Order: sequence, then structure tokens, then C-alpha cells
Amino acid sequence: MVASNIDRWTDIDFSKDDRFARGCNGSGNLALFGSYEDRYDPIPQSEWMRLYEAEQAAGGGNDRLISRVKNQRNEGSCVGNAATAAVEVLNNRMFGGKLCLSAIYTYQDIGSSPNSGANVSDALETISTVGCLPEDTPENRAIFGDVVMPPTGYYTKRPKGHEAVAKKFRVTEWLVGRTYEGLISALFRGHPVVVGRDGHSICYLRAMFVNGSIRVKYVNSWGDWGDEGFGYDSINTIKRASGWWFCPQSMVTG
Amino acid sequence: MPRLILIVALGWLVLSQGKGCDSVAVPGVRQVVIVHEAQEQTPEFSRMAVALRVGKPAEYLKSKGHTLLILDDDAIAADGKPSPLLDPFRPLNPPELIVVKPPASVLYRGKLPDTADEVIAEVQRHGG
Repeated sequence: MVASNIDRWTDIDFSKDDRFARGCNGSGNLALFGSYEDRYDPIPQSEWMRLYEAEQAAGGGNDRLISRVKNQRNEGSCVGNAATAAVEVLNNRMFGGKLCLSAIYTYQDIGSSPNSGANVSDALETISTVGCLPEDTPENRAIFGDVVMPPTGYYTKRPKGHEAVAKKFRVTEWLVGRTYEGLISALFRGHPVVVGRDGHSICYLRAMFVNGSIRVKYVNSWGDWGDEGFGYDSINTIKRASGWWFCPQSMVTG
Repeated sequence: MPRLILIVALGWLVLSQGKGCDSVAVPGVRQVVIVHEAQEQTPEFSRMAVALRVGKPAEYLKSKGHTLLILDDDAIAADGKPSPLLDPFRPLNPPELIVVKPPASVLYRGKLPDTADEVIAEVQRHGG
């Protein structure tokens, strides 16, 4: 992780890069969900540097639990990609391995066309009710047979029996937040956070300090982009993204 | 022969007083179960969980063939019922560490240590 590389990929305005598809139509209604800030007191800012240094000393944070960087290609499925990335991190922490989930399965539920985009809150509702379907990989096929889906392809037909398999990968505990302090606190507590900004949705992984300033490392869904698929936001951009976000905390063990 | 009698007598004396006889588990593969409450997650717990998954402690667990489960205390299965994975350990008292000799012998059960290294040390103390 080279500092100059971090600076190069900090505060990217997704709306200014037409080479990649986006697809985040907004967040959602906080009143429908339990609030992170109501549940937790924020970790005081005076503690953040110490927590970051401790995490560094331990070798890193949730960025090490990423299964692989997703690629939504030309579809507006970023919300499905960010949400399933967060579920993968949660799964990998709880049960191990490197689970790969189909982003398009989730996006089919919340989008109305390949490029309609979707709301972040709709993704939360889907991953906590319908669940997520494994991606079509050799490892997943060995377990789930044909009940898998590719990462892209909005019009891909869903396999028979997808409902039962998706329920095996369902988020059971989550919280929605609305403040910058709450978001950073969630990251320090180890929760992956799904946000939307500049018409795009990404999964925040960890809070860190670069030259004494707070940054958040996120995983994007644009394949070979940025710092090996990852990007960084600094304080003002984080604040813009922190008006509505959610973090999955627990999922089924199916 | 007198020496053998003396050793046996001394051994009996020690054992009868309940001292100097820690049970030693036969080394082997272990299942390491951590039960916690997702709503009470702390930065310290997060660091420990990540280290057990991808850090040096994780390498140790993998090298020994141990499996690791980090479970929420109210985890449910895909059918919406309480997870059967937790059934052998109820009642639960999170956060706790349970070291199991497969398939179902609980060798250790106690308060979850603060760090991944301390978890590994506990596993090693119980033959892992």
C-alpha cells in the first residue's frame, strides 16, 4: 500500500468517469430500520488513531477478508455489487473461506432493467429477506450444483431452487446509520459499510490514517481499477457518503 | 523394587491431594468455536477475528488442520430456526471460547481472551 498510490485514488468522483457504469439511485428511509447511532455510542475521535495503529500492528482489517474485486461491467448493478461484497466479508469472517456471491442475483431483485440502478436500502431489504445466491464458480458448483448465477447479466434466468439456496446466505442483523462519526465507529468495530455517493455504491472496509488525516478504504466493483480494485475517501467525501449507510452484522449459518 | 514402590507411593500421594496432575489432551485436530454477540462487537474483537482468519494465528490454525467458527449467539439457520451449530454448546454465555475435539468433546470452555494470540495459546494448551 504505497502512499502515493493512495493519494492517486482518493476522493474519486465516480460521476466524472464515463468509462464505468454506476447505478445508485439513492439511499432510503431511515425510519424503516434500526439506527446505528441509537444503538451505539460513537467511538471518540481521540481514540481513532490508537485503534488504527492497533489494527495496523495486527496486519490490517476487513480489506483482508475480501473474496475478490467484483466487476459490474456495463450494467448499473453497483448496489448489488457493494451489498454482496459486504455480505462476503461478513461470511468470510464468521465462517472462513472466500465466499463469492452473485451480484446480479441481488440486483435483479432491486433494479428494473440492466441500467435502471437501484436504492441502497432496497439492497438491504433483499439481502436480509431473500438472501444472496452463490456466484457461478467451480467451488460453488461443487456444493450447490446448478443453483448458482454469474456476476453479471441482468436477464439471466434464475435457476430452479434458488430461493432455498439464497436463504442460506441471508443477513440477520444489521444497522442503518446517518452520521460520519457513526460510520467511522462502525468501521473500527469491524463492520463493512455499504454507502452510495456520486450515483455509485461502494463497500467501505476500514478506516485508516494517511499523513495524519482520516481516510476510508473501500472496494469498488469496476474490476481492474484504482489501487488494485480499491479506492480511498478522505473526510469531506466520507461525510458526503455518510448521510445514509448500512452495515450487516450477522448472517445465517445455513 | 523399593524405588518403584517409593515412586508409586509418591505419585499416589500427589494425586490424592489433587495437585500436580493437570489433564493433558492428546494432541490432534481441534474445532475452535467463538461465540459472541454481534451487537456488542468491539474494535478489539474485530482485530482478533481478522487475525484468526488471515493473520499469523490463522496460518497456525490451518497448518494444524484446525477449524474455526465465529458465531453469533443468536445465529439462525437458513430455515429461520436457531442454528444447530450452537446446539451442543447451549446454554451460551458470550463472549466465550470453546475448544472441541471432534466430533463433540468439549476440552475447554471459558471467557473469550482479548487477542488472537491468547486464543491460540488456549488451543495449544488443549492439544491443538
